[in-house]
This record gives sequence, structure tokens and C-alpha cells, in this order.
Amino acid sequence: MNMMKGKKSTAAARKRNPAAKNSIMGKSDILIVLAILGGIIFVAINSRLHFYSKTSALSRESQKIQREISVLEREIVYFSTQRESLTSWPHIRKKIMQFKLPLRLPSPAQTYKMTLNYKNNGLDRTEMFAHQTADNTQNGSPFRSELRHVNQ
Amino acid sequence: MLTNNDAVKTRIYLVVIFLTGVFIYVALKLYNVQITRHEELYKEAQAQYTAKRTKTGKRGEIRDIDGNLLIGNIPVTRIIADPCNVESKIDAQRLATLLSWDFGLNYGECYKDLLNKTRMKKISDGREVEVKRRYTLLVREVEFQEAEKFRKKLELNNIPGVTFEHSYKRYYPKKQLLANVLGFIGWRGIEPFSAGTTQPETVREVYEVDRSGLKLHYGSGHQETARDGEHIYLTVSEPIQSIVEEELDKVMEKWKPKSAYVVMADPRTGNIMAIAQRPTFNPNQRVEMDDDSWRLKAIEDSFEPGSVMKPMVVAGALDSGVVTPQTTFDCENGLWIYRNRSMRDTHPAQMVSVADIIKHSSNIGTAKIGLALGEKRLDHILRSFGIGQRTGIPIKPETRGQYSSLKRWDGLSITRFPIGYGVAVSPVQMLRAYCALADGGNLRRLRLIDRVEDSATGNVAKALFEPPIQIYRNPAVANQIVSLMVRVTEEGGTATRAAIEGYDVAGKTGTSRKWLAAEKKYAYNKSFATFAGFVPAHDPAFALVIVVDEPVGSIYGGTVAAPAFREIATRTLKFLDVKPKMATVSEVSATAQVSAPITNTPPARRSPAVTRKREQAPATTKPANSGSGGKKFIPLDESYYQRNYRQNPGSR
Repeated sequence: MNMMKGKKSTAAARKRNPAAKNSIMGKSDILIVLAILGGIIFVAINSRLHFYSKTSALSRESQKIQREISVLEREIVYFSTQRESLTSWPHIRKKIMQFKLPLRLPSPAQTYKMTLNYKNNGLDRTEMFAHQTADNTQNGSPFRSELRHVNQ
Repeated sequence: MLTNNDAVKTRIYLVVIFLTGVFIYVALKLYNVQITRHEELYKEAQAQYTAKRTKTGKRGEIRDIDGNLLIGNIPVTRIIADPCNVESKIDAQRLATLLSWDFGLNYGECYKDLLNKTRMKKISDGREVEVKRRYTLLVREVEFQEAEKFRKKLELNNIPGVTFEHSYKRYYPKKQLLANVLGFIGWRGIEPFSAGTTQPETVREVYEVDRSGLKLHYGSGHQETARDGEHIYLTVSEPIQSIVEEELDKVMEKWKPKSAYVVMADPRTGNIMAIAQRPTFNPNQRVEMDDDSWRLKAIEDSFEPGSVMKPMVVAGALDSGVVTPQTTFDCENGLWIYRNRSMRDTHPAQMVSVADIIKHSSNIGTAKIGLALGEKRLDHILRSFGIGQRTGIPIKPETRGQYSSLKRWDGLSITRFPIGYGVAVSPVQMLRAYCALADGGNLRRLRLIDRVEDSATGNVAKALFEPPIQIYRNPAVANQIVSLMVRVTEEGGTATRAAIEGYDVAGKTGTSRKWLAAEKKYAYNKSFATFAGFVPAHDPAFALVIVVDEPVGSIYGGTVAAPAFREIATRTLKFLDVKPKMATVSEVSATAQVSAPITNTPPARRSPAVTRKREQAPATTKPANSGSGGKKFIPLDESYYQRNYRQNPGSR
């Protein structure tokens, strides 16, 4: 096949047709435009991929945190139920007996209470004061008073 | 044209035609995929990236009146393996080893189970085909901490193929406290009764997942939060319940009875403060209990109450004007024959006043009061106190007891019913009647549920108080009968062992022999020993009934039940901070003893230094038969009872 012949005829054809030279310049423009478009599309696709991968990573992270929250919630329920069990009177009594703690409650006659109702910043407040004798020994001042201030 | 060369032109044409063909093909393909098969492919894709699951909230909790937890939920986990994902024999060995160490499972069985990757499945045409085995339950209901430890071991050892299914199970943190009342789902008690209220919501969640199965937060989908069930607050107080159960255990240890019951209520509201029985069970360990200990006998079973019935009859007789506290009756020196049947008194006497009939618990005196009342009035009085009726407690089944209608009475009924024989009541029926005696004749329905709380919004719906029914027409009767009952616990009475220093205790002992159905006679050495009372007598903090079934060593209520009443009441009064009647500082310094060690009384919880404000129940209704509404006492004639009985035949 005589390729040189084809080339010469193409070059000769260009010489004969000056408009062909302009069309070569037009092709460069098109190429540039196509290159720019291609570049934009490339950047867009890559950005989208980048954002998707970030979103997926964040999603996995949030899933992990949600799992941890779920575990913590279950842990809270578990411990609050255990707390109820440990603060029940039979359990406390068992420990008092076990450690032989010399604890006593006052008899009703040894305890006095006063309730004060008032408004503070527009809100109703109640304060209770409990006065309790710690012991009923009879030496001099028989009562050691202990003022307890209980807010409600 | 760039060229006139035919060869090049041809090639260009060919390339253009080829590219056009490709373009057309692609376009047609796209049309086929995007338009023609859109629905089909969209659903297929959706099935791949959409997951569904159901979520259930937590069942509502049951708490006491102050918010102490009685029934809650604890997190549990099911450990599941996917045998197809247990890749190698070594992984199966390691997993089986961990399971046998941590949960006591059989190593060999676990190993075999994990290696079994297929199963046979019957398909629609009846053939059996081999399919992959993707699910095997290894351990069920593992507690939270154990499950977390196991999960961490799996992560450390990098063992695949195991998943955890989380859920909650019911848990009773106070173990056997109030067990018979609380019950459990599938049986009886508050738990099944309130199942509709505590039932959580189940929702279906649809969400998008990525390639690895993780949920996409930005995806579309239908997501809802499953609402938890509502919380129920009972009228029972946990510390008081603890006191009652502790003392009941002491009674069981000392008298070795077949069973025993204690019920306590606030007379002004009808709130049940404690209800306990033995035998009982631990609801967390239900495999160990026997059927008999499951039942709430304090509500389901009835017994012949004996002398604890007497105050009601005397109160009715005082109210009707038939007797006064000073009216005397001939007690026949302790032996009386009526209609060929004998009746005996433990303390023989001749002429005894109504006041002393109660104090010394004279059967003959009470029977004669019954005769003075007449059948119709006696029947009306007993029904007015709730005998033969349910109490209003929401737990089923509740017995009405045994109480014959008037037309079925025989000639002896009028003498036997007033002394508590021939009629059967449950402990809660007796409690309700004593609440009426304590609260000036106001008969109330007993309450067990105080309020319901919405776990999501915090809104609280309080259970309503029903207005009470006034039994007495004469308001003076209230104080009169209470004063007579106080004498029972004073020196010379039958219940001196129920007396509490510093407080007036009003009550009545009861000793009723058990009926042997096979032999058709009453047992000599088997009885119910009962004490019912309230304290402080004229401003009662609570009414309390103790019933001991077949105590060994003594059969008498005054010996068996009265001391238990004293112990429970003393500790409860201390807990409620009810002052003794003469409590002043100087008197305390002179006479107070060091209070008993704390082992006897639980600390108040959640309301530490507060005497709970007494709830105000609605004011009493006017007496149904008040007529003009005046408070003057008017002696009634027989026609009144005929009218009233016909209008209200046991309707209270």
C-alpha cells in the first residue's frame, strides 16, 4: 500500500484548499474544549467518589458509635436494675448483720419535723427541717441535736 | 470534506457507521434497562440495598408507691452462629472451646453443630433438598455482662460467624418480695393483669444499607422509634412490705404453720400497703417452685374467721339501737344450749355487758346479740361490711368467700354467723371490713394500683378513688366500737400481746377451728389463728390482718397472731414516723429505751425524712338511708330494714 501517496495527496489537498488550514485550527479548539470538559467531568466524578467514600466512612463511624450507645444503654438498664436489687432492705439487712454494724434508727418521739413553704423566684418551694436526737443518754445535756436540712 | 481520497472516505464512513451502530445499540440497551425493565430492576436493586427489621420497646416497669422498682427489665442476649461463616475447623474448635468454658456447653456437640453446614428442607413439591444452614442458636438469654465478655473474647481471637441478638427479659430485683401479688405472664397477678398497659410497641423499620450491610443514615427509608410500655405504680410500699415479710418469716419459723397471710391497708383511702403470704417463691427462679406457692391465697382462699367477726356485729347492733355498750346479756356461765346445739365461752361468766362481750370474746353474748338483731338486720349488717363481696382488687381470681343468702339460713345461722362460723371470708375481705371500722364506717374498695405513667411523655394517670359507702346511721357508733376494740388489747382483754406502748391499739383476736369435710366435723387441734386491728385507734395509720393457718404449739389468735401484729405495727409506726400519743422530749428522756438495732427496721427510701402526706380520698357520701340527712340518731323499726334490704340486697 502506498501510504506516502495518501499523505502527499492529503497535504496537497490542504495546499489547494486554504480553508483546510482553518479547520485544523478549529480542531485544536474542539480538542481544548473537549479536554476541559473531560477535565471537569473527571474532577466531578472524583469529587463525588471522594465524598461518597467520606460519607461511607462517616456512616461506618456513626454505626460504630450507635452500637456503643446501644451497649451503654443496655448497660445502664442492667446497672439500674442491679442497683435496685442492692438497695433493697433484705440485702442491706444482710450486710448489716454480716458486718455487725451498730446502727439504730430514732424512735418517733425523738424526731421533730418542721415544713416551710415559700415562693422563690415565682416557684413554690418546700423545705423540711428534721431535728433528731442522736442519743438519749442522761448526762447534763441529754440531747445532742442534729439539724438536718432537707430540700424538696 | 478533508479529502477526496476514496479509500479514506470509505474508512471514515465505516468508522462512522460502526460508531453509530454502537451508539444505537447502547441507546436501545439503555432504553430497555431504564424504561422497559425499570420497575423490575428497581425492585431487584431495592431488595439488595434495603433491609427490614422489627423493633420492640421495653415492657413497662412495675414500681411501688414511692417509685422503688418491683419488676423491671434486664438486657439479655442470644448468641447465634452461622455455620457457613465459620470458615475452618480450627475456628469451630476455638469457638466450641470458648462456649464450653464460658457457658458450660458440651464441647463435642458444639463442634459438631458448627461443622454442620447444610440441612434438608422440604420444598413445595414434597421433595427434600439440601440447603445451606445459616442459623444455629448456641446460647439463649445470656446476661449482659457475660455476653459482653464473650463478645470481646471473640473479637480478640478473631473468630467469625457469630452474631448477638439483643433483647430484654423480666427481672424481679427484690426477688421474692411481693412475689405472689406481682405474679408473672402466663399465670396470675399484677403482671398479667396489666400486660396490656405495660405492653411495648413493636414497629417495623425499613432502611437502606450499603454493600457491607451497614445502615445508611442519608438513605431513604421508614424509621420509627418503638415506644416502651407504660409504668405502673402500686399502692404497696416496699419498705413496709419488707417489714411484713420479715415478721411473717419469724412466724413461720416459730409456729411452723401450713401457711400464713398478712394484709395491710390505709383505712382512709383503701390503699393496700402490704400483702404477703407464706409459702412464696422467687419469680426469677420459677423452675424451683411448687404450684401451691404460686397462688395468692390471701385473695383466692377463704376461711372461717371466728371471733374477728364480732366487732362488725356489735357495731351494727349499736348503730341499729338494739344495744348500747352497757346492755348486758346472760352468758349462761359459759355453756348455752340453743336448738339442741351447745355453745361455749372460753371465759365463763353470767351477766356480761356488750363492752365486755367484745373484750372477753364471749361467743354466747355475741350469739345473743345476733338473736336480738334478727336475721334480716344481721344479714344487712354483714353485707354492709362487705361480707360475700369482692373487694375491688384488680387481681383475678378473687373469691367472694362463702356467705349464704338469707333464705338459705337455717335456725342456727343467726347464732353462728356473728361468731364467725358458717361464713368464710378471705383475708382481704376481713381487711376491708376492718378498714371500715377504723374509718368511721366508711366502706371503701381496696386499691392496689395507684397510678400509671407514660414512659415517653411522663404523663401520669392516677387511679380514681371511688367514694365510700357509709355504713353507720349514727355517727357516734364509730367512736363507740373503736373504744370497745381498744379494750381488747388492754389488761384483761384477749389480745394484750398486741398492745404497743404509747399507742392505742384497736383489734380483735380470732381462733376458728378448721372444718374437716371428710369427717364432717371441726378439728380439735387445727385452727386459723387470726388477729385484725388498726393503730392508732382513733386516727389509724393502717389496718392490719394476720391469719396463721394451722400453727403448731398453740391455736389461739391471741398467742400466735397478736404478737406478730405488735411487731409489724411497731416497726411500721416507726417507719411512718407516727408519734406515740404522749411523745414529748422530757418524757422521751425519762422513759425512752435505746431503739432496737436497725436490723429490725428498714430505712425509708426515696421519702427519707418525710411523713407521707395522707392522701385525701373523696368525702364520704351521705348515708344511703339518711332520709332527711339529719345527724340525730333515730331508732329504726323493722319496716326500714325491709325497705332497705329490698333496695340494696347485697349490692355494696
